[in-house]
Amino acid sequence: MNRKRHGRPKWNRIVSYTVLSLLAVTFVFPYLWLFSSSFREPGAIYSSFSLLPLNSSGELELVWENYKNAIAYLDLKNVFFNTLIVCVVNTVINLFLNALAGYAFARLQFKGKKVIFAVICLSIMIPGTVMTIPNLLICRFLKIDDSLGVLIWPFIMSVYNVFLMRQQFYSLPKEVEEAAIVDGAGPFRIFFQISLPLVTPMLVVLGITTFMWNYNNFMWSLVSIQSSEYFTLARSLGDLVSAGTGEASLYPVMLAGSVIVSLPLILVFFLAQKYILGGLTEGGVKE
Amino acid sequence: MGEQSLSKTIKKRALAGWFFIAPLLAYFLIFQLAPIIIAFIISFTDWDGSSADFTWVGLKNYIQIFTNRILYPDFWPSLGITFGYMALTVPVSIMLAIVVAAMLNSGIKGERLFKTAFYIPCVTASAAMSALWLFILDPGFGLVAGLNDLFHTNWDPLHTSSTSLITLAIMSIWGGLGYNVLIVESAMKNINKSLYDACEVDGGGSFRKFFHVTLPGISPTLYFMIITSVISSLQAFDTMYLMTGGGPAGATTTFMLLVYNAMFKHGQAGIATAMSYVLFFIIMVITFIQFKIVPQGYQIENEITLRKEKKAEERRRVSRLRLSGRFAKRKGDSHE
Repeated sequence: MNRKRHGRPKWNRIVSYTVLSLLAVTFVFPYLWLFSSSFREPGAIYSSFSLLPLNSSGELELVWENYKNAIAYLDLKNVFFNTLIVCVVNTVINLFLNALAGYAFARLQFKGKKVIFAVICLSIMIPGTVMTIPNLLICRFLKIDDSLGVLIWPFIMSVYNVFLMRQQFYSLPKEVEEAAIVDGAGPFRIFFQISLPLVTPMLVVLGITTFMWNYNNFMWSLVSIQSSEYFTLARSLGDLVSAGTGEASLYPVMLAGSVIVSLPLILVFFLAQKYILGGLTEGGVKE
Repeated sequence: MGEQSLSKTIKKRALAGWFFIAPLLAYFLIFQLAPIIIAFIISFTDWDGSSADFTWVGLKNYIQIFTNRILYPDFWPSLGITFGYMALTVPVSIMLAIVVAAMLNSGIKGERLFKTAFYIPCVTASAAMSALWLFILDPGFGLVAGLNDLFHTNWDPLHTSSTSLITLAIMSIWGGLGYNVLIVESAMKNINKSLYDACEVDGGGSFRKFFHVTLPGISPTLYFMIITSVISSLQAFDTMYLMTGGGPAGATTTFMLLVYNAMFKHGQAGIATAMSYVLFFIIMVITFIQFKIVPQGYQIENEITLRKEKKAEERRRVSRLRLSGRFAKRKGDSHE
């Protein structure tokens, strides 16, 4: 990358590689260990330390029992569908409505736009987790708590993503749109046919982050859902983990459950890493 | 004729503007503004969170949580724990991210591979991450057990009150590193290369380059990162709830965990909302102070973007004028 630097002493580079590799090991190793341990029979987890799924007599053996137990404990089928519904609905509607509002702030002229945009931007400052209880109370008033709706409605839009979409539309060249206006195209047609396709990379990044955020959201489903029929993967696993804390017999189930819940997103991440690692820096996520 | 259809277009576009932001306005009113107002009112009542009746108690909730050490013994300690957690996580997170990003940005091979590895925890659910660490830290059979075997100790970092918060802090630093590195590194990539050359011409070594070019160059990003990290560390909840439940002996009872307990264990919605507003206020004050002591670089960049936006606005106005002229002419032409 930096040709200017190749005259520098080599040890500099050696140090970098060593430190980064050691650090990378601390990131990859726990996951590999988790994965292999989830296939070991409960007794073998405690006995010996190994990255391979060995059984108690030291032979290679994949034990699926932990997974069977975890699937039963998590109520996987039901919980998986809940998660899928919540994530897909939230992502699709989020992308559409955020883009719509962002486009209006970037391109359309109407009275009060600046004031509204300023107020909306201020609300980005509101710390989300602190407002958990207030948000919960609103959902109780609206009678949507303890349903799938409580996982959808409060997250149907994201003020921060509206802001990011606005910046994105603002940076597009205007000439094409202006030509379309001259040709008599209405704002809806211009938005759908010209502007929206131009921000596809941003939509991909925000789509992935929105999906992942909803998938991993634990605290909100902890406080807002009581009936297990509406649990999501994160919530169900959370219950398993807090039940398993300090109870060694639940560890194997807990490990298998963690693999089940985290593997889909890790796979998505590996497939889409080009977008995530490249685009996140402009997109970013708000927590 | 032309004038008329122009104003019609403008009106149509203004109407569309309102239509486009209508969902946002509804969302903002119901799920952003209304919770703030209603919960603020509730913080002045003794509501239990479910029953129909409650009475107005004025400032009593706020006074009680601050002064009543018998009813709310955890309030002050948990504030201390929360700030301690912030002090443990934020500086180390950011310094580590700078070092790692600088190494990644020095033109080494496999940059993408390293970044991918560091980012894995960022896509892992907090529950799965907690399970993973519970397993590693378990003194019975985890990595800690191995260390204990090796050194013949009886170490249990998660369940010892002097080390449990530090353990959770290390876990949080580990989990957030990938995201922070990504952001810091992309800021480093945006630094003008000629600045490094200029520094080299002046005889600056790599240390001088780092402190005189890299660090000032990424300071706007660092500033943004410090604010967001401080805010998110003050709201820490998931790992404490899942891994320690606030223990041992309340050593990891962060403020949000206290709020959660007030709401769900003790059924005190009034107290829980009052506590929420205390933290809300603290975060607002910190954010405000941080805005006031903005580092130089941020102001400069801010000014540049402002100037850019102004220029774009100007250009747009000119082209709109030109456009309207063209528009009128064209419409007129077609009707002749």
